[in-house]
Amino acid sequence: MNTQEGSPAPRRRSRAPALVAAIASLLVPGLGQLLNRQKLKALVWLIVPVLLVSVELATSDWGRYAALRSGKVPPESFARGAEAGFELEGPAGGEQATSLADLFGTAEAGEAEGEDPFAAATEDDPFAAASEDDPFAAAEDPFSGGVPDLDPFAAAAEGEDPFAAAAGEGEGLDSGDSYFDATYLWPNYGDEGPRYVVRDFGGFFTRGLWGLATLGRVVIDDAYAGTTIELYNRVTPWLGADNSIVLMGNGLIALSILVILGAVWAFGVADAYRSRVRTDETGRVEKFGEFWGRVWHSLYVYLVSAPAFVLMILFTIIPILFTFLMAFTNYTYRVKLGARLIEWVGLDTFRFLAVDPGWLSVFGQIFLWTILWALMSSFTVYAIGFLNAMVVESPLVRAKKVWRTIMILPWAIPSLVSLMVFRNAFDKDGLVNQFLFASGLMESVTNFLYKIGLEGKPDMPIFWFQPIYNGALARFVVVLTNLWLGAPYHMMMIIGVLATVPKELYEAAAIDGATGYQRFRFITLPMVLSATVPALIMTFSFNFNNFGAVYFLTGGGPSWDPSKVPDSMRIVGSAMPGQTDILISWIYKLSFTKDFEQYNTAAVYSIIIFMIVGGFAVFNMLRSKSFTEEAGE
Amino acid sequence: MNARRLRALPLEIAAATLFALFFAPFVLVLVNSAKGAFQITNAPLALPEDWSQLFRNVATIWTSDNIRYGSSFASSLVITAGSLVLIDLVASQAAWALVRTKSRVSSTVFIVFVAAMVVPFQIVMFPLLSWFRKVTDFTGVPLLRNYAGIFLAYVGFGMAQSIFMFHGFIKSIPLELEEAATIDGCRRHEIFYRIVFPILKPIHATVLVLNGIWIWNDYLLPVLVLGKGNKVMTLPLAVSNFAGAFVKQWDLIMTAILMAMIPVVVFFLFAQKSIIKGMVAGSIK
Repeated sequence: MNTQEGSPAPRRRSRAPALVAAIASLLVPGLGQLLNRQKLKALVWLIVPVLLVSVELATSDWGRYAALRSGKVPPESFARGAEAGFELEGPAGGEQATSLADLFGTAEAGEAEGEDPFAAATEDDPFAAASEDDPFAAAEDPFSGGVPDLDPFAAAAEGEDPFAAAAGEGEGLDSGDSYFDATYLWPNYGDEGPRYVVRDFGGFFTRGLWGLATLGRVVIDDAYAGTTIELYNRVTPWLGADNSIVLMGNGLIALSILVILGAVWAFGVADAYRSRVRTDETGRVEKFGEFWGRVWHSLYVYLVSAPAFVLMILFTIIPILFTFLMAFTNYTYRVKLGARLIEWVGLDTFRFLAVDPGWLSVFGQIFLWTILWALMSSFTVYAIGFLNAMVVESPLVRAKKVWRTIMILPWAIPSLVSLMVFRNAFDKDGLVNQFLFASGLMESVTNFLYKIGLEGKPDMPIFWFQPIYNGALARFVVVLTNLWLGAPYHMMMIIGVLATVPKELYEAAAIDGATGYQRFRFITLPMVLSATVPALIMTFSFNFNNFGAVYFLTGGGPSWDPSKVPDSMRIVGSAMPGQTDILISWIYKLSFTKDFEQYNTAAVYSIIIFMIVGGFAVFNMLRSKSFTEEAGE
Repeated sequence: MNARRLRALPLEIAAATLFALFFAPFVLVLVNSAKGAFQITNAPLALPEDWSQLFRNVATIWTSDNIRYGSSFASSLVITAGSLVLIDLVASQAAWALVRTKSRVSSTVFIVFVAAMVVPFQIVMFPLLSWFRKVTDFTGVPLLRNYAGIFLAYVGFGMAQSIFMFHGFIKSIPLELEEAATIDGCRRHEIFYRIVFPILKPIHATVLVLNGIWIWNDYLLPVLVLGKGNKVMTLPLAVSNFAGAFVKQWDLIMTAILMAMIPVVVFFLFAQKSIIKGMVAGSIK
């Protein structure tokens, strides 16, 4: 601090060595520390480049590449294909064709295994439909059709890898003792044609970044580097087709490790600068022990929070990055991994969705309904929760404990299970219709629903979820069911708040002669509202994404009026949203409807949801007490 | 007294109506669990003719291979308890360290946690499966279809919110206690486990209750990570697996649903007081 108040000239002189040290550390981690005469510390930072280089080298084939380039190994003798002069047992094309067939054959077999053996049920039964289009029974992971799902060992055991065998037969391998060397094949780059050196020889980091940047370059049956690319090759990875999703995942992992290492590196730069300044000021070099003690003291925090942090990055941050990246690709059902590549398309998907009138209008309608749904369900849930709480807590009501226990139960049981019961109850032969028939109310109820416009036709029995003209009714039922599911939580919350309202207020009000309604209106309501506003906002964003309440009850149905499906949306086929679908359940359909997957569109809509829900949550947190205190420090 | 009763009447009517509406589904499930296949389609609203049918249905469910009630219940218990212990230990310690260390980095870490709270699970869930496979490829630790994956996933997803709740509570604890312990020669982890951890009791309850209810009742994460018809199933998973297998047999499905409800209902009846207390403490801030 004192030096800063001195004349500018000496200060500039004193800062120069610090800058030099910082720049040195920027070039080579640890070099700046070395200049500062802190050898041990320099070693600590030297670990960063050493780690980088050794991981890269250990996982790469750069050694082979160097040998190849330096001419130690004549490429012709090891490359496969016509030039290599090996006798192949069959036409290469034929082999490829079988393996391409294998690709889809295996993918289908995999799905068949994954399916519930009992799921094949009659179609007219609504619950059969439920189990069939059960999202998760049929829901195959979008990427399962790709390469990694094939069992590499099975293929190897069958000995179907003609090239490995061919290479094994080839005599004259100078280091032919080890299996890997004997079967490894060099890429034989021709004079023309592409060469992806990083792809073929690169290590963990270079190949990861290459994959992330390009999303792959060659696919099955491509002629590349003197050979034909096959689907998968266990021994010689570069012979296998690129799988864009795998490359994207590897790239993300490599990138996140690089970011962490980069942060350590940057910390080293800052440290070199700061410790030099301190040395210049005090005239003594900080000992390593002191530095370590300082770091250790603060390191404790990071050690303790590291598990949490790592898990969160693994399960939240990276998957969401994955989704974000997907929005900038052309990944739809048309891209069969292994046979085609995903490409970066920049903002094309965003642009298309923003411009195309068909998509725009359907999205607009779904979006409006989502907001309406979130508002209605949050309001009803809160209001009935409030009413329940008032009833349960009222001194006039007897046997409170029994009421309260009953009212809480819907919150406690798995919502999937309750939704199954409701789905059954609102079936056309379900309990609700049976009850209406039995009680003789059916005719008046259906006429009433028809008159107020919820039902398109006064049917008896009432079709709650099915025909196109009953969209409004289905929406109404969804909100009603959600009320049953969601009110108990809010009741408990409000019971808790009610307990915090000071009794004196009511006593004072009673003395002033306030009526029960006035006491509620001017004391209870404002107190509870102000205490539960954050919870209410959270409820809104929860319902905005309340996938289960819609999907497990109606499956999105009734379906969209076919005459109103825009032409540009016909490509999505059965991934078309239903009339009760909210954004998140439509995204689900876009991602998981077999043969109609639209991963990129789903990702774009995911980003929109993320921004809305995230915005609400951030807004909520910024105004919540526990955060403002943190920020105010 | 009479006037008081009269005034209470509308409230009691309201209470009775609400009670009926909220209780009806439970009654329906119970009543229909005690019916045979024929009676349930013919008279779903009537009382069962023979209550002993209930026990026969329960026996069918108990021995069913699709639900494997005993082992599913045990799996649910193991998953819930294990995840809760992990979440509670890791989150409380991390939150404590973050509160007690004031530096730019520690507040950045905290803000990252808060930011992760904002990410809706439904958006993350789509790439999760392929991501899990990727992690398995890299680390060699199988994460799908076993306990390891689901523990880690629950800890990963439950962490942010739990740290946030612990963080808010720990800030209100005065520092003097810990300083005194430091003077007495306590190490840092000793300070935490001997002094801070017990003080956190009320917020432990909140974190355990909220996460416990979520994990026990969750369907989306288990179905993604464990898959249907797997050796390890949670109760909701088992019930939906059963419903998929016995498509038309609503008598048995109702019994399965009833049996899935029973453990939670019993638990709630016994622990209601502490659950409400824990819930309330956490939800209002």
